[in-house]
Amino acid sequence: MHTEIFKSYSNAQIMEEKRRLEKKYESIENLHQKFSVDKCRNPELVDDYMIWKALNEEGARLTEKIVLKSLGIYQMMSPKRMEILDHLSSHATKSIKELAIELKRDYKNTYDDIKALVKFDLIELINDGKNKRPISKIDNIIMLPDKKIGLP
Amino acid sequence: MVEIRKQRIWIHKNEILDTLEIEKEGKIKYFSYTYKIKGKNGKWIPGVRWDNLEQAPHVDRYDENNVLVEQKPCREKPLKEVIKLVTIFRRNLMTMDVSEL
Repeated sequence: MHTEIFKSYSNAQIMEEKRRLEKKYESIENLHQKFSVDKCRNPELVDDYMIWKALNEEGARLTEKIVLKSLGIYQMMSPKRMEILDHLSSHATKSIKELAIELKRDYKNTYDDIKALVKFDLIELINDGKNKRPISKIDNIIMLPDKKIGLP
Repeated sequence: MVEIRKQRIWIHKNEILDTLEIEKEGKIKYFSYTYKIKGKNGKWIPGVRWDNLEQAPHVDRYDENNVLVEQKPCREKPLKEVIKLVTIFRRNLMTMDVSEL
């Protein structure tokens, strides 16, 4: 068995993604120039350019999926970490400290749980001034037999 | 309507397959499937990558210093086939003639 984790971007999240790319590369023209020179060494530039170009088209939709072999996710998942994912899916929390307060938990343990979730790409930490803002990267989690995606 | 699909498949603790597919009017216009390994600094570095940039499907092979060592044209591969190759050969892909697979 394996686990699939989905995220579908809303229009606001698509705008945020475009702003993130703008912050990183200034403009799509800049990025194009950069990847023309450096595409062999840094293929991610090509992907970022293709994503940005597609996002600029009207009605563009963006989805993200993470596929984990079930053992991996269950070894790291705990009720407290599930609670964090659940909370972040419906709350815009400004920092890890604020999250710890909202969940009535100790800061250190919350921080450790966030780090573990970041490692599996279930959460992203966005730099927001002095704080790191935790954002859930999850909409749905489903389990499927390996053969569905061609895993031997 | 343009659909952008990003996917990360965990092959092992230190190995992933990052995929990107951009679909327009039901056809995949652009794809990239990149097998990555975790470097000593904790960053993901590409090992082998299939993509169809400029409508020319090819496969790139990188060394552990993130330097492109080989680029060869190959037939367009469906994602399922790439997943199978990556899960079977894993790190060995980095020393194989992947375009022949």
